[in-house]
Amino acid sequence: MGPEARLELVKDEARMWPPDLVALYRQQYAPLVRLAYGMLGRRTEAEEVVQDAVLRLRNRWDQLANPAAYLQRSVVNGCISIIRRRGVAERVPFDPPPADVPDRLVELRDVLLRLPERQRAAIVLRHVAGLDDVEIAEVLGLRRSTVRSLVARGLSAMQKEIPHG
Amino acid sequence: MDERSLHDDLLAISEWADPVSVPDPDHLDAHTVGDHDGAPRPGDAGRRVLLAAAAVLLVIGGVWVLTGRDDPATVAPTPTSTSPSTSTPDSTDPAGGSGWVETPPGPLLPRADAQVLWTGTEFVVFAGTDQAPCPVCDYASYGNTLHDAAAYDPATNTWRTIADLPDASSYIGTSAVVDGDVFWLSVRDPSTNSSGIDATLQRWSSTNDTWTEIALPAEVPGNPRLAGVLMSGLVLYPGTDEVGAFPDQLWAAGSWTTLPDDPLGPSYDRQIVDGGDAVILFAKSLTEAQNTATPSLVQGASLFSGTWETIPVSDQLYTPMTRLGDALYAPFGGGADGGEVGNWGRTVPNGGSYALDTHTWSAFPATTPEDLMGVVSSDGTAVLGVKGHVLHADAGSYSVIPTLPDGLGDQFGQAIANGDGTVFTFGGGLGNVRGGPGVHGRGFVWRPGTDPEPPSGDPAALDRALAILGIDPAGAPSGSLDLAGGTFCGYEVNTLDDSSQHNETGRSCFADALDRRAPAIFIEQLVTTEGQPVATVWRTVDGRGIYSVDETREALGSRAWRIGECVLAPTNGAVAFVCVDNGIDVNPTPTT
Repeated sequence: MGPEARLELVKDEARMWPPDLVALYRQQYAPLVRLAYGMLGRRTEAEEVVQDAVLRLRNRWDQLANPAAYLQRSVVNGCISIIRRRGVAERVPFDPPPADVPDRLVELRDVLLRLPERQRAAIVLRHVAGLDDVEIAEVLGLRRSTVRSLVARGLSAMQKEIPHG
Repeated sequence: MDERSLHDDLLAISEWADPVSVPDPDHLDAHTVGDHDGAPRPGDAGRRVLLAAAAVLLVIGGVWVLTGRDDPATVAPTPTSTSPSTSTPDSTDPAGGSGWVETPPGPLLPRADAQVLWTGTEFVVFAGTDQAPCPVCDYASYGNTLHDAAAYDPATNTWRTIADLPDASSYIGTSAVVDGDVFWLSVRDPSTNSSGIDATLQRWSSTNDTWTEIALPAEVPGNPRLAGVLMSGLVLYPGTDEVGAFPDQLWAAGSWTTLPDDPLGPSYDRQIVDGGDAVILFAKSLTEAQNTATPSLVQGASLFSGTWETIPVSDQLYTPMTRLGDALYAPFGGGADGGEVGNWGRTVPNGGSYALDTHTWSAFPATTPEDLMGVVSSDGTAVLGVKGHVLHADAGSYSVIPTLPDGLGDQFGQAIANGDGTVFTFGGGLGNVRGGPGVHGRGFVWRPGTDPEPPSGDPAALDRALAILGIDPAGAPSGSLDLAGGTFCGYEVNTLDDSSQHNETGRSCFADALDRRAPAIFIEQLVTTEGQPVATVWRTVDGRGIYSVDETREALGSRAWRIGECVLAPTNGAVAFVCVDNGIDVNPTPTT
């Protein structure tokens, strides 16, 4: 297939974006990229996860009453998937921090990214996405008590690594 | 470090991703063609529970629709992870479940009447026309021959572009595979069906990805056919030889040799089949006239070591034949071996097979469906159409070929080929109205051997499913595989990208049992990126869903069985199937 034909197909697909989905996408894209970045430490991966989640949402758009929740859940699961793959695949360095950020933030970022994925997800969902325990439990498919436990264990591990932070 | 400052610090870290510019949604497809497959790792227990729960949520959905409850989809976000893209290889089985599964979009233009061949590792697609296939075609034109070509690898679910067909090719012709290379004999003027036609023989090298012209014999027969035979040979033969004017010719080691004259005489519907160490010929004999006492019988002969031997005539002898393992099958039902009107042939009571080693015929199990269109056995698949029935030769049973989506199975011009247990179809028409929407460029794969049986109360059906799925019942939690006099609703095999078709019949069966508080079992097996299966065995107990997860075969999992429970419960203003992972390792195996 030539590039022109391919482009036409892409345009045809693009025409199928429902306006409400586009609005949700524009509203949620940046917060979700920040959420994914908090879990992954790499912006490129974070954007890919969010974009894939949006595309998947488009395929189910007519079936969902709470697409925003679906999107968030999809992004978190995409991040967990990538984190787990890192465990068995190559270890790529995280993005370098912006210039002039305090060392304690770099250290905190590194500690966060070393946490087990579910602890990391729970902490990022609480502190970056601003969700409460019930909402985090919904996203992660866990009991509320399990979420509390995950957050507590994650914070404890971070305290140990940065005792004077 | 107090939580307030931690909160501020984490927010600050997340903003390192800024500035985030929102790409135009029109360009998301291009952005998502990344370098990761995004497949989730099912070693995550919580996520797997979610996956299982999502599956059952869909099951419950059927009940909700029937009973007028809330739309289940409103509370059923399926937490799959990132999906594969068109250029991202996914090692998972694209057709792990039942039914046709669409391949990723390929590089080919839409077409009908394409050539599709299995080379031993890939399905090669080439030729075809951009015109809607007959009967809605424009009879005054053959359309434009399409010269782009591509190969689809079912093992990786990926396409690759291969060298374009030479300009001299038309889309009318015949093709065969020899030693993994494609041979394509195209007829430049399709209206010609007599001696001395203008044809070109091209060879596509799977090694070099090049098309090379092969010199043809001095005269090419009308209605030419190709067949790969005798390991590395190619036979060029006439599909019709009513006067015995054209010999069958063998191309091997770069030159043509005339085969000994066959004993079948003037005939039509001739077909040569690779018999391993022999060349098998089937043909229909000519009769003097319609309604004669002598029917137009199918005959067969086998050429072995330079000598033809006739194959015994049988009620099962029918054409075209197709080979699976050491047997030739006539995978068709009803009809006749000669003409279809008057007394030009016999009615074939049921199709059959011919054993190449014992030279004996066997009938298919009665009653052979009239629309039989293929055979499936442990030796592979030979499905020759996208509609009808297939014979499961090992089991002696028949099943219906799954329905292609969007009505594509009711169209014309699909190309179909079999390889490595997979049936592959590409292209075809889009409508039955002349001047309609034309042709499409979608590909689909189906693995008939993985189709589950229909719901059954027979415990043997559950045992067969366990064997197919490779689940060891010995290690399962007590009672988890006990049908308790209920129904085994079947199973489905899903991929991480959720591209597999679900076993909707099985899901509805389970949902119904759940609603009726009747005992039932349904199994969902997930294949990880590493190809390791993780099975979730669902069982109904008093309206609850009890699940047992077999992680014993997954290296990244617990290497044990886990059990959990799901109940219907209100959540977030709706009703959902809420699952609790009890986290009990029933049969823990230390991972060292």
